[in-house]
Amino acid sequence: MVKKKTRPGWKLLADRSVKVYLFLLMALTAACILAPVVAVHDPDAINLADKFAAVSPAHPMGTDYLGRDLFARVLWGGRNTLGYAALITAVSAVLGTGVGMFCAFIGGRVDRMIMRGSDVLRSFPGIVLVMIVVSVRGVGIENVCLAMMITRWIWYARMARNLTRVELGRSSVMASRLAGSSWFKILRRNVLMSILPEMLPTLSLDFGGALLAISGYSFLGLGVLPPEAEWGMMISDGRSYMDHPGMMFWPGLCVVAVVISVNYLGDKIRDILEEERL
Amino acid sequence: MGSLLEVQNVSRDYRSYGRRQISALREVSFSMEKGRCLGIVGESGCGKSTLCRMIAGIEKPTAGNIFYNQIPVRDRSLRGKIQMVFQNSLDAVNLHMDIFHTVSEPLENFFTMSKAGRRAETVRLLETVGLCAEDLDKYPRQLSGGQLQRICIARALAARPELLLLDEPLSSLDVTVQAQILNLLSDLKKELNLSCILVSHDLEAVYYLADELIVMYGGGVVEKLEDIERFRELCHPYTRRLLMAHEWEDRPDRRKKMPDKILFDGKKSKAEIKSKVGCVYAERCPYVTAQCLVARPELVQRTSGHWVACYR
Repeated sequence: MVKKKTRPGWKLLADRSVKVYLFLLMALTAACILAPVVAVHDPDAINLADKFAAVSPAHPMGTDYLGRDLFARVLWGGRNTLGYAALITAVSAVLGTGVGMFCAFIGGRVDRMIMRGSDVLRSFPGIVLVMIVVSVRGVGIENVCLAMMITRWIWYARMARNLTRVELGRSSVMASRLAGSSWFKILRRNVLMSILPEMLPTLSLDFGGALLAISGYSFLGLGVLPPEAEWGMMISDGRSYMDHPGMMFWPGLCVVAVVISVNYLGDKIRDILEEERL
Repeated sequence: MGSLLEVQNVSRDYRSYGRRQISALREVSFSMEKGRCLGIVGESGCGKSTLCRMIAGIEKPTAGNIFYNQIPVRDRSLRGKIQMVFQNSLDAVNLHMDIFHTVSEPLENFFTMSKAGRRAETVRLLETVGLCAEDLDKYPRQLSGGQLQRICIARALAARPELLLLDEPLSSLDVTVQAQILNLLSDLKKELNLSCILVSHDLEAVYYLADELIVMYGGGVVEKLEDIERFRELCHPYTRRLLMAHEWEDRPDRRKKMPDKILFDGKKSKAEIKSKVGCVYAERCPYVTAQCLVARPELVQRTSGHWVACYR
């Protein structure tokens, strides 16, 4: 089972641009995770004497309007942005896949009810739901995350449900039944292993979407609260100081780099899987 | 009693959403002795595969019972005793599982064996079906259709079945590979003393492998013959037509003598046939009479070991 995963995986790595994007993504993630070690300055330390400092060895990305080191803030902000995006994507993917597979397996009335319920949830625009949750539970990243999870699992659920239905209709499922495997084992070995690669591109694209959304909500002031750093909020802060573009440039560059990388990787994964299927 | 498999008045209806009910099988009954091979022939959609799935216990009949050694086939105590080889081998295997795991799946579930033991047993099974140990770590897509069908047979044999159901095992293969698989099945039947049911639309394959024959049409049994060597006695108009389709190359003139009276002209006539009271074959039968349209002929014994459902 593990071997199969590596074969299309190697094919993916043979592509040079994939290597570049993957390296970029991993380097950025590693830097953010290692922020306490990599960044020498405290991201929240205010030094008004040194505000709007230019790029220098001491401040690789300069400083902002309060003299805080931008390099440190970008890395610490990345922990928030990337971390919450990953959390939202992971929770909604696991929840959605589980619900979708369950629906497809149970079928009938339960399936129809859950799917109609998810249609209702889906009919709310994401931002409206975030507004509602935030207005009820207050501003804060955890409420934004909650609201985003409520809308995002539905995509996974629909996809997993349809893919599972196809998979359950194959005679291999009947064969496994005859071979004495339990339904749980069949769902795990036959169904999950087949639908997982199909869902991988969506997962990757959705991560980019979640990241943009978190940055967006923080930009609007709904998400991460100051003084903590977050890319979207940093861009929002930089808006007021257009004559010092560094404040917007560095976090913006990071957002663009990550989103382009994950989208490209998602597309590539899909291309390779499509080739596999032929 | 005492027969291995007892199929009693089995019917199966399918109801699809927004459409009307379709009876795939109506009141099919037959029995089968141990160590025999029963051939079931009929055209696509006549209920052969449905019957097979119900005997395997995967599907529940709408009405009727199926007993294996007097035990209902869906009983847990029969797990693994009845195995099935499916029509489309690529559809019947998990594409994300290697051959070792595919073939050893029944071993894992039915027997307690160490991993090394399972591996050794899998190699033995692969060799039984004419493959070698090198194929163990391959994935289904790396094998040909014929090889995959052998894999499916090996998997079915892994459970050490007493009854093997072969649901069109040859349909997705080309002629030379069909011959290989047929030979393999015939050897296995002798070696392992398997009872088997061969479902096919290919009379020749059935003649080669089976001991007895059932001909199905439109969800019912139209003819039953206990000794396939007496196939020249087959006399139901539908069976004659099937036989003629085979002999056509030798005797081209006979095709003209007994054409289809009416071919199916779309869904409507098919639905009519399924719902009406008369003989299921009446619509296409060249010898149709008034009686055929109002009452369904029962399966009647003509000579010993030969039943026909026809008024003629």
